[in-house]
Amino acid sequence: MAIGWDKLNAYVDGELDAQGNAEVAGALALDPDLAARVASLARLKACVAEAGKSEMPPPLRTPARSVPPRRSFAWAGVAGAAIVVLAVALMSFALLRPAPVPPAPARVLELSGLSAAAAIYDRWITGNDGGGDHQRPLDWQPMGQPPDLGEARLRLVFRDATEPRDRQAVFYGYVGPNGCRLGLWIGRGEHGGRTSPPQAVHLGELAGYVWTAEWLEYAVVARGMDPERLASLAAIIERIIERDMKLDRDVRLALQNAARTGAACS
Amino acid sequence: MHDKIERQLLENWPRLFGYAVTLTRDRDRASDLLQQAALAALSATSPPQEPVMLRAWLFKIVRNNFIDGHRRTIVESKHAATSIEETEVWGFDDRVIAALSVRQGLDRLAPDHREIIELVDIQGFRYAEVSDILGVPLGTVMSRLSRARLALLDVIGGTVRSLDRARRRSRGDRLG
Repeated sequence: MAIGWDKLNAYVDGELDAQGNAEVAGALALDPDLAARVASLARLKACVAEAGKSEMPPPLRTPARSVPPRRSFAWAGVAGAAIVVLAVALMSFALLRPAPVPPAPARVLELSGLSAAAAIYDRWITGNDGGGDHQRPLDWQPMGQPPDLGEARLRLVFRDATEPRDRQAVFYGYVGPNGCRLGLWIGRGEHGGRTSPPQAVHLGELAGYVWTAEWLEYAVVARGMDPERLASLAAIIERIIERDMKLDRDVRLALQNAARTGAACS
Repeated sequence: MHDKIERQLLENWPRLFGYAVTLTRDRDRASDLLQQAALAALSATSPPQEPVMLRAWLFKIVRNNFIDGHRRTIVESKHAATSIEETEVWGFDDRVIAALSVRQGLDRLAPDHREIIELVDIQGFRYAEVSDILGVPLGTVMSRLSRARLALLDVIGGTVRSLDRARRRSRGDRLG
């Protein structure tokens, strides 16, 4: 039976059912020319996927949601009454206006650091870092020295300043005694000097925290690290940076505790 | 739901950008297109619930925003009549298929061919999902994809042949 070009494509894409697969596989065993076509298609598919690994995307600007303000206990009763009044008002409004309009973005959250950090982190853990010299002096070091995370048993072993290409940025890679890998990316901010607190983010299996402060953007990322430990480390790193890299007793204790938090890295 | 959409946007952001570049052929326009699409997605009132469907839905939003912005559809290539007969002997030299030649070849393809190859081979969508994103029947996805790949092989082969000719010419000049 002749196998058409469309069907061969579907075979290579894994889109045929069991009977279709068996039909093509049987024909391939008997026809070297057909096998050559499949080989070409498979190679083409692999090369297209490789060619598709392209440029660094721009930052995602998502409308940030406002954080509810902290209320003191004394105000709780007043606030509760206000909520009831507001709810009644909103219900009346909803009756008059059936199609709700989403709120306008209050501010913009910059997340380009996450993409950059993810790209370098992947290169680092796969060992595909281009064989660069990671000991040579960096052209741009926004904080002098990177944070010392030794108290959390994290050792600085890697650094890279290649992502993104059109921006000043640096990435530091730390390794723990059991293979945990933590990345810290710092880039010159594109956020207009605004400050935003650390926010949890995910990019595939990579988890992390991003925040901005004083014209700099930060991202702490790790894969397979206990979420609680990662959250602690991000908060501590933010604190260390805020205090010009000074490690006081509280910070040292917090680092030691973070190392003991949660399960081992997977 | 807003959280789910935002997570999907973050996870697929580089891929959505790649798709936007394929559609616009321009990094800046792709960036604008993507931001518009992200806002549209986050403002949607009835997005799909399943993560897999949500992902295809995001790509569809990027495409619809592109079409709305350009007030046109992606023109289906009319010159894609390239076909192979089952009786023809396959004479393609696989050595010319490499990441660089493929990248150059993709740039020279008709937009609808480039788009369908991107969706299947780069973004990893199933035919049924591509059918939904493009709004065409499954059979059209199959035939368009197989024509697109044939066109790509043709372009790659053509590139290499012209390089060979250039080399031969250069060699001839030196000898002459």
